[in-house]
Amino acid sequence: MNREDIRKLLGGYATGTLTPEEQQALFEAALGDQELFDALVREQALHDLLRDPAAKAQLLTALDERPPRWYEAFQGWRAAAAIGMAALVVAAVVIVRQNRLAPRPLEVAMVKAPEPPAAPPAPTPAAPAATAVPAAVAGKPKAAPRQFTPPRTDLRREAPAPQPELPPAPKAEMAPPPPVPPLEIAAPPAPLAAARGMAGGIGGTIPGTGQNARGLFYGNLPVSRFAATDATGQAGQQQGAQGQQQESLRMRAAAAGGRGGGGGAAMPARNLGVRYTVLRKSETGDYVEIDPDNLKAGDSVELRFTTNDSGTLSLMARTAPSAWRLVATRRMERLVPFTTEPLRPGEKDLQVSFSRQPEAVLQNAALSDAALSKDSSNLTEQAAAERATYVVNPAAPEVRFAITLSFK
Amino acid sequence: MHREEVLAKLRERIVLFAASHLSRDVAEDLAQEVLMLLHEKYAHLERPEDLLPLSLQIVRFKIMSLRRKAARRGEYTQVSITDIPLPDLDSNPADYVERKEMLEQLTRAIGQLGERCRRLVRLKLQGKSFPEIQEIMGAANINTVYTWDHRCRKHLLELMGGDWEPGKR
Repeated sequence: MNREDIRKLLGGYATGTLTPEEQQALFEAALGDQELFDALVREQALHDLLRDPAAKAQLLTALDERPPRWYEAFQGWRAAAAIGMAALVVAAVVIVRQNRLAPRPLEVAMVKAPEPPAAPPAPTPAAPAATAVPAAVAGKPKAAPRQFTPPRTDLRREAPAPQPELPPAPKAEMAPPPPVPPLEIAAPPAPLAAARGMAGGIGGTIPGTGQNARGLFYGNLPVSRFAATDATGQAGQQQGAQGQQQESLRMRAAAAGGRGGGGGAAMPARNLGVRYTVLRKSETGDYVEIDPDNLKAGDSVELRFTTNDSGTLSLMARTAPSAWRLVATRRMERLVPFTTEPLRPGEKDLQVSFSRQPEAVLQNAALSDAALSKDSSNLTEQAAAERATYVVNPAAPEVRFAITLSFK
Repeated sequence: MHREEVLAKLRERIVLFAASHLSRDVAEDLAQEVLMLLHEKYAHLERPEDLLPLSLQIVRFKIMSLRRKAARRGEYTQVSITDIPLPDLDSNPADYVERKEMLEQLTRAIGQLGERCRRLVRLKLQGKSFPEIQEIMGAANINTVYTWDHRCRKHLLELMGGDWEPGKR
């Protein structure tokens, strides 16, 4: 046996199971090998222990026991802890994956802080009311003049202005481009059950045309192509309760066009109109839009007006015959809502006057009921879904109408 | 190999081993006392396989005694040869405690061995020699059993912390 083989006999020395030949070989080698001798001295402790039959029996008992499997270590609280950790890991993985896969929301609009109102532009009586302004002028696109202050809401994504690409032509022979018709938003048809004509008007629609006040109110509003496409596309699909959303969208779209920042030119509305809603003070103290037919005695009421063009609006109210009070008169911007102060108790007869020319607006004197009735060429429509009333006068440059609040 | 020759080699080995753990003087004295004990009480033993295990046992016991005394008194003192008793595993409580601690640790370590090592250790504890183990385990060569046992012993020693005696670590 070589030296390495003899060293392998050390294990047999401790248990005392070496054969006489192995013992002789091991001990003779240990006498001449200090390292092996040292190993033998160190092995002596185990040798002494295993000489004890009781210790040997205990070790044999330990060897007879089945060694625990790795999974048997997970018992009791260890198993619960392992399961909990596994669940946490799985949950974390799922959350991370979902966050990765979830599409990012596309931000299409944002609310901007209200900007200080710009100085009202001068009235534009000379502006062509019913003619379309071309979006592009021959050879050089020309930005549309701004007539309105920026609205409170803004479309963040604005499509570039529809600018037809014109081939370069000699300036001397440049022919005037054909007029580009302004984009118009087709107002969505109001629910038939909700639209009805108002007393004092000539009905909900113009005979022979099928147009209603709501359609005329939104007609001829220049908007960007993007906004028009978006608005009309949605308008054709949504009805009823979604009218308010459409309304908001149309207003924002029209306002975006009105700013002229790439949209169509701002031009006067073809048919001057007023949209108003009735607001009632709720239990929380806020004024919310309601159906005018649901007013009750003692309600605190406000009115919110929106016009489809810039101009001056005047509102008068009375509690008794001929006792008119000027509630408000102010400059209106296109599609920028204006909410009045709460009406006084008992004020249920109102007169509204809206015109592009301030002098044409009722100031301190109201028309008589008869005069108001006589002058009534208004087209009125109440959109129940929006809880709003549209009044358009297709035949005159101003709109005058009466509102009678019926408190039950 | 004659007895005198065996004792001379034993003395050399004991001195070198003890010197690696104790001072040189103490190692010389230790070897001398072991040889004197072998000469006086075990004069009838002549073969290396008889003398060497006995000397190993005496050396270990004497070193343990030296350590205990040094720890107890705080100094190294010479140990009279008359103080060295014959090996008796249950001679005093300190031995008993050390043995018990070593046995518990060995029990735990054996439980962590692999299946082959457990079987090999079991056969050795049952008193089987390496040739018998070769036959039982069906090893083709006795060297295979030697190798198995060498690896198992090495693994067991690692599980014990590098030394069979817990107090020496």
